[in-house]
This record gives sequence, structure tokens and C-alpha cells, in this order.
Amino acid sequence: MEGRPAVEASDRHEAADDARARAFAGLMDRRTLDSAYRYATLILGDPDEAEDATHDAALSAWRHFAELRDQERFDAWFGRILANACRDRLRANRRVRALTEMPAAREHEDDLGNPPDRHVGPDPTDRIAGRDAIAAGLRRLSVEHREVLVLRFWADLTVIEIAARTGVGPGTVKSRLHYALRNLRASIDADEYGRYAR
Amino acid sequence: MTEHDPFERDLRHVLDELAAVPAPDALRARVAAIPHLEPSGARAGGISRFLTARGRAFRALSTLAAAAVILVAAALVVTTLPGGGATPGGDGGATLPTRPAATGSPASSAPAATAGTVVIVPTPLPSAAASSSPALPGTPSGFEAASVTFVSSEDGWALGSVSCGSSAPCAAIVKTTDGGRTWTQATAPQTALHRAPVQPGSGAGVSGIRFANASDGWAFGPDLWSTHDGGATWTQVTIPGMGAGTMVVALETSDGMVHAVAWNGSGSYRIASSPVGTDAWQLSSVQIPVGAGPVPQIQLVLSGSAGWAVEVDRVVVGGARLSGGTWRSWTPPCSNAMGPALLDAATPSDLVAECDGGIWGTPSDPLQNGQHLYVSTDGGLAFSRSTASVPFSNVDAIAEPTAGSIVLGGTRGQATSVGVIATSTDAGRTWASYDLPAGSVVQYIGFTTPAQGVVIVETGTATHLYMTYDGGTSWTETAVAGS
Repeated sequence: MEGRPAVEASDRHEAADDARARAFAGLMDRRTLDSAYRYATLILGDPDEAEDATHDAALSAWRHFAELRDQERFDAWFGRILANACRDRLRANRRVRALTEMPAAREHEDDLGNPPDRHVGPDPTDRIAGRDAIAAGLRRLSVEHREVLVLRFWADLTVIEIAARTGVGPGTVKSRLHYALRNLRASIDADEYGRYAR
Repeated sequence: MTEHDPFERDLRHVLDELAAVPAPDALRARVAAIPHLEPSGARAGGISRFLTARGRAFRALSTLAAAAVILVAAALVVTTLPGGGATPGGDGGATLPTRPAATGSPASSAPAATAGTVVIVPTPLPSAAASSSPALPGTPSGFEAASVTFVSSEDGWALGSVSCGSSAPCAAIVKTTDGGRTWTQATAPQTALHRAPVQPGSGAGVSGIRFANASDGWAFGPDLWSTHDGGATWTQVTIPGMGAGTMVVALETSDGMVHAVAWNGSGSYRIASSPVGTDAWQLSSVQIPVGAGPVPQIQLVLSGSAGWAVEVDRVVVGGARLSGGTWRSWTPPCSNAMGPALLDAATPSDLVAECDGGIWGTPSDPLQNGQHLYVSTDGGLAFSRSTASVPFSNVDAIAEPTAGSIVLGGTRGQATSVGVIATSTDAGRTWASYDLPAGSVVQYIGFTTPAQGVVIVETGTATHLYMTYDGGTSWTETAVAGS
């Protein structure tokens, strides 16, 4: 009957949009958003900036969702988008809040209601002072150096994975890791933390 | 990463603490609203800009209220957002519209050189967004050089990667007979190009190439392949006495012998040697400790019948020295400087080292703090600290074409790293330096003759070869293949 093809086409588009939205929602789940927000917080040092960068990345991922050929690679694909969104935000704002100015790391329960881990060592006072120094040192790093440290020591990515995430070669990643650790280490009093030496 | 390293353990704890807060509910609501605002994924940039700029206001609203306001705003906005999105092509998945990476953008014009100093005239480098340019005749399309070797001022080979339909890039080899000015495709071992650091579990393949002469050559790291017919055929070989899973982490050839540093993932590094015309590998008795840091690296240097191996794992851990045909334990320079060291030799007697002391602790000698050059004139038995200064802060590679002539490659600056090559012909008293394109990292410097040398530079995800024919005074990029 006249008009049916247009109606059918509309139904098909709507069904496709619904399927796409469900797939996107399934991938952009609580775990993904938590991880993305935490990463953005480490890079940008500001919770509001981290929220906006994560949203920008999610929006970009939605717009290009149809180009993701293998949903098994979603984490790496979205991670790259997020890394770029964080760098874009830094360039646009040209400011990085001091990581140490963030609200103090709160002891909080995890999603299952388990109490926070308590890092008990033989010398808790020194340990706290050492970690404060590390946090201060992270603030002074360039975004490229902070990025590779976060991806290596927080996200546990390999050199190759970091290279794919940041859009540079493995040699550059290795070089940046080396100098990021060196610069971070140099910002800490060598005498006070001689235990970090060989 | 070693779980027992206290600094890295504390670093991980700090990062966990700084990232302790999960995504707020307002962010979840904003993300959940995205598919409803753009059902077909079409761009409506004014909406997103409005959302981003006013994001803080929406955090106080309920999900439903936020969505209602957004829908009203969407009906009023007509502008479009500038292009965004990433290029996760390296993950083997999506093909988003590309944009230039944060680093690696090509120089828009040749940087000026200071008078009387190094003149480098790089050809414009491709940006990350550039489409593949046509391959040069005879070279494989998309070839990226990873390692290069010359046996004379004319004859050389480069090992690199090409796409081959598998998840890992395939190894490819190109050859030159005119000193690097032109290259043609040559036969390569049927294996992958290994791009990750050579470590246990990092996979198979090769990452380096060396030839002793026109006939005898090796592709290595972690696997070992040899050719004795100029590269027409390649055979995978094993080093007797090292066991399965042994990785070759370094290989060099000189004076009719080839030497390789091998590691089976536990214990110490071992050195094996063979005459270049055969695969009669024999292990030496010397053992070099690996070190406790996360990325141990061996540097192998040969000059004539002499040789040196330096193991660096954040700090100088140990070494070995070749003398009279035998490898023996050796204490490298800067062993107590609490930092890394780089080494090269111009002759069996003349060596130079660049050390960065005081990074991982207090040196036993306070004078070793900071960056310094050290020279030896007795084959490495003794080193003296040079009064010359190192011209930039991050040195990644060193070469000594002739005694007293030093070429350094690395980066300077911290907020924005700039790749640089610096040359001195007076033992470091004066330097001529030249900045490479933004985002460049020098991977390797090597000299075949006092005048002819090659630098491998990584810019973004692409690699480039620069040749010098005048001892490092000037450099020109050699186009090995289309990118």
C-alpha cells in the first residue's frame, strides 16, 4: 500500500538505533565509566575536569560507535579516545590542578561493601611522607610523563598497549617511562628515600 | 614491574589513592542521556558544547530533569562541534577520523641551524593523519625501519615491519648499495617484527639486524636467525646450552666474530660467540647479573677484537669485557653512580661513556651526581670524568666515530620534549646541535666509518633514518619506503 515502504524504513531505522543504543549502554557500563573517570582524575587532577573529559570521550565514542568493528577491543578503543579527550582539555584550559589539592584520598568501601585496604608497613610515618612526596612529584610531571606512568603503574598496560593508547611508538613510550620515573625519583629526597635505591 | 620494588609499590599505592573516587552519579546520567540526544549518532556540536560547559550545573539535577533541559536546548542549537575523536587504529579496531597526535606533528618548515653548526634538512615528516604515500620502487609499502646495519660505506640493510594480514607486523628487510641513498626490498626471515621490549613473555620475532660482511648476517631479538648467502635465505638457530625460551637481547659483530647476549628469563645474562661464517656458537663462562629493576637492558659494544657489555637496570648492574678472545667479568664506568650509563668505543682503546648519576640514590662519589662524560684510553680498564658538559638532559644514544668525536641523541625539555642530535669533535668541549621534529625520540646512533653514520628516529608511530656522511656535521633523512 502507498506509504508502507516509508513506514517500514522508519521502523528499521528506529530498531537499528535501539540496538545500537543498547550495545553502547552495555559497553559503557559502570566499570567502564569508573575506570575512565579515575584515569581522567589522575591525568587532569580535578574532579570537574575529569567528569567533563569523560563525558566528552563518551560522546565521541557514541558518534563513532558504528566504526568499532570488534567490540572485544572496546576498552582499548575507548581508552584512546579518553586519552585524547584529556589532552584536549589540558590544551584548552592550560591548567592542571595540583593532584595534592584534590580531596584527600578517602577511605571508602568498594562496590561490594568491603572495607578499604589498609597498607600497614613497618614504618607507617615514613611511608605516608614518602607517598606525599610521590604525589607532589606527579604534579610536577609533564602530561606525557604522567600519562605513561598512569598507564603503566595504574592501568598495568604493556609498552605496546601504551603505545597504541597514546599514539606514539614503543620506543617513545620506553623513553618517556624512563624519564618519567627519573624525574619523579629526582623530585624525592634521595637521602630520605635511599631505600628506593638498589 | 617488580612487586618487590618499594618505589614502584608506593607509586602504585599513590595512584590508587588519587584515583579512589568512582564516577559520580551525575556523570552516569549525562552519559546515559547521550544516545537519546543523538539517536543516529549525528553530530550536533552545539548540544555537546552546551553540555560540557554547563556540566557542573547538571550535576545537581536528577537524570530526568537533566534530560528534559537537554532536549530543549537541542531544539535551539544549530552550530556544529569541531572534529574530535581518536584514532585507535593501533588497537586493530576502529577507524575513526584521524587527527594529529598530541606529539609528532611535522615541522612546517626546516628549523634554522645556528651558524657553523649542524645542518639537518629533514624532509617533511608524515603526520599521524596522513594517508599512505606511494612506496618507493622496490621497497615494501608501509615499511617502518627498526634496525639498520652497514658493512661498508655503500652496503647496508634495514630491518623493519610491514602489514601482512596477521595481528603482528611481519619482518621485512630492505637493502642499499649506495650508502643509504636508495633502498630495495630483500628477503627477510619468515617471522614477526618484535617491537616490545625483549622480555620473558613478550612474544616471538626479531627486532635487530646485523651483517658482518656481504654474506654473513643475523636477525635477532628475541629469536635468532642467520644468513650466510647475503640474505637470500635465512635459518633460525639456537644457542647450545641455553635451553628453550632463550632470548637474544643484543648482538654485534667485529673482527670476524659475532657475539650475542642471551637470557633465558631467569638467572644471569650469558654471552655466546661464533665465527661469522658458521653458526658454531659457544657460551662463555662469564655471567652478567640482570638487576632488580623493571626493564633490564644490555648494551653490547665492539671495536676490532675488543668488546664490552654493560647491563643497566635503572643503575649500572654489571658488565663483561672481551680481551684476547675471552669474555670476562668487568666493572663498567659509573657502577656506583646510582644511575644509567651509555657506552661506545672508537677503537679498542678509546671509549666514552655518558652517565646520569644520583637518580636512584646517593653516589659513593658526590662528583658523580648529574650528567657527565667519562673517557678511557686503555680499553675500559680505567675511566676519567671529563670536564665537558652534556648539552641536553635526556640522552638516549651515544656514538664515538673517532677518538674525541662524540655524537649524542636524545631529548631536551620536560614539559615538551624535543628530539635533538648533538655532535662534538673536541671531546665535548663544544657542541653543535639540531632539533628534530616535535615529538621525535632518537632510538639508535651508529657509525660505519668515521664519516658515515645513521640515526633511527621515532616520531609518533613512524620511524625515520637520518644519514651523515661528514662525521655528524650534517644529517639528511633517507626515505627508506613510503609510510
